[in-house]
Amino acid sequence: MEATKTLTRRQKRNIFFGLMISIPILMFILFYVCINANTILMAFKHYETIEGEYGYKVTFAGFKNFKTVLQMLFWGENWYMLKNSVVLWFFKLTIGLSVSIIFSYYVYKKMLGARFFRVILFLPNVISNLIMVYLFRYLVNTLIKAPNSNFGILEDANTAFAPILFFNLWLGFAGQTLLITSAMSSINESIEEAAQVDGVNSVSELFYITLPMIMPTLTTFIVLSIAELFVDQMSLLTFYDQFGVDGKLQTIGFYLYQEVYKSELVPTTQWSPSTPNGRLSYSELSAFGVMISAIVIPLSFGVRKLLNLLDPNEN
Amino acid sequence: MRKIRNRKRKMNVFFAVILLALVLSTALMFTLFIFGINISLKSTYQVDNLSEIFNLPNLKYWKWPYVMEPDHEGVFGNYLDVFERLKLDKPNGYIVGLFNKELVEARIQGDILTCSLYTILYAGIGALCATFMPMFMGYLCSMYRNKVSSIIYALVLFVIATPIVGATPSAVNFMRSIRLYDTFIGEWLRRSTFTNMYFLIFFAYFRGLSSGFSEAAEIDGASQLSIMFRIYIPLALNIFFTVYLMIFVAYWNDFTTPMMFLPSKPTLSYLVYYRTTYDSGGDLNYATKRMAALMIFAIPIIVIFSIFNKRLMTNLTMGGVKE
Repeated sequence: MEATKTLTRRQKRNIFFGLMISIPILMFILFYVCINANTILMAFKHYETIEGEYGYKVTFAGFKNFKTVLQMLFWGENWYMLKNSVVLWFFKLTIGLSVSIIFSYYVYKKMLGARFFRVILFLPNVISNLIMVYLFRYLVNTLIKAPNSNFGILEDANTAFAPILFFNLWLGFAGQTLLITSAMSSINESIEEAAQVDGVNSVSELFYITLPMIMPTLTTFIVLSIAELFVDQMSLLTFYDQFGVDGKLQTIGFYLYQEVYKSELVPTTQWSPSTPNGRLSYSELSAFGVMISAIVIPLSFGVRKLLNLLDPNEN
Repeated sequence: MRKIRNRKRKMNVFFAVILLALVLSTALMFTLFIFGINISLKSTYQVDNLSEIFNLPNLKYWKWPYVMEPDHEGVFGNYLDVFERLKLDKPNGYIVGLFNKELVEARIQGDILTCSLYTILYAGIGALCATFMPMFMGYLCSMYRNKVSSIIYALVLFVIATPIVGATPSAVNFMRSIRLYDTFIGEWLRRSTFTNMYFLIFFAYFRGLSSGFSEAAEIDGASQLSIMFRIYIPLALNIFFTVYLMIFVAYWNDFTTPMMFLPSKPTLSYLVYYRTTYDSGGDLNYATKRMAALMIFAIPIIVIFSIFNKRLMTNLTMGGVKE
């Protein structure tokens, strides 16, 4: 009792702070540090089942898992997943972001029906992708058939990519428009007033005033898009069923999810050039993750730095 | 000098082209929904007949000779069928434990009611954990300014800026090792993270509040815990509820995470995805039934959006809520 009385206000505050942050910090160590460290460790491990037991024999694999991943990536049609991921990212970043900016500008300028369109553009954020995909898939397959076939355009791997890309761009406007409109709303009105008094037209105002003023938001979008490059599943999980997606349509994000869902520490059939229908083990998938992170992390830091240099607000 | 009262501009060719694009985009969205609702109200026979695909539901297709013995007939026949058939029961097994490995023989099991309960546990409580933790840490780091809180702030910025890809196999393996895989507690703990954007929002909000409240309460003998839960957290309830709603909607719609981390506790989205898309050979493998299942799944979230659309579309800025 005597001891507590002698504690100063600062000491009490420090003890309380220390006790309170200990639980979140412990969770951070468990669910962030341990999991990510384990990814790196697993990438260098090889697991084997032990006959008659549920345990595994673990050995050091060196760079064997990385080699298998590279072999898989450039085997047969698998390189399409790399190409599709980059194409999807490029279109989202160029066409997707540009259209989002233009739509946001329309809403921001409070043009005809702006409030209504703001709600409509936001709707795909709320309504499950599952619903949107199935409605789109059914309508498109019913209306547009693949060339020389009775099947819908989405059932043929040679014709399905373009409509799936369109769908992803179309729904991608949802979240972006709201955030970009909000960034535009924070622009000082007097700058625009001065421009309008000087007779600047709406297109020039967008390019020479609005865009430079929201550059920090756009930088964030671009940097975050780099992280999405190898994570975006292109909604393929909802476009196709358990029998999977044709190799020509896959993205790396989709491949990683599907493999983790269907594989194990030691898969029933291990992927190799002689068993291409097999699966990568969790160790190999971890190696894949480490390889991707090794590309994406420096790339996103580099792009952020470059965009900050180009940002007129920073200068 | 001409006075410009607001940001509004006059309609011109540039805006007219954008308006046209917006109208087309909106029209596509409405077409999809109307088409979907129309299909869900029709008999499978009417939908299979391509010349009838865009027609309105016709009750004659629910009766003989088009249908032998439908379980339910009429425009809501598919919905009633779905209510009865939308369930899952499949075996599922995985190995847990760090040193003493054990095989868990579980089942992927659930009907609409059970899965609704699982959804409340996953999305309702999960979103609560995912909202509370950044608020809690945001409060601590903003109100207790010391070296540790500065390090935590820098750590959050670093984690947000560092995109790590491909940690899911490790996460699954880790959760199995600590025997929290396929449990709600494990999922709530995994969601209780503060290294995200919401931490920055709460941090900025609490930092903007006066420390006078806390000093006055301390003089009156209030404990640090009372100051946090009775004074400051109630002030942040508006942001808390907005963040909670956003996360809740995202969790409600998410089926990929429950499939991966809660395989034998299917949420509604997991159930609907599994039965309408993944399990393509199942008895709901008809466009009519699938559409009905998807519409049932969409209704609660549309109701939530109609009630809370302003809050959901609000802009969370670093310092509060901006409408």
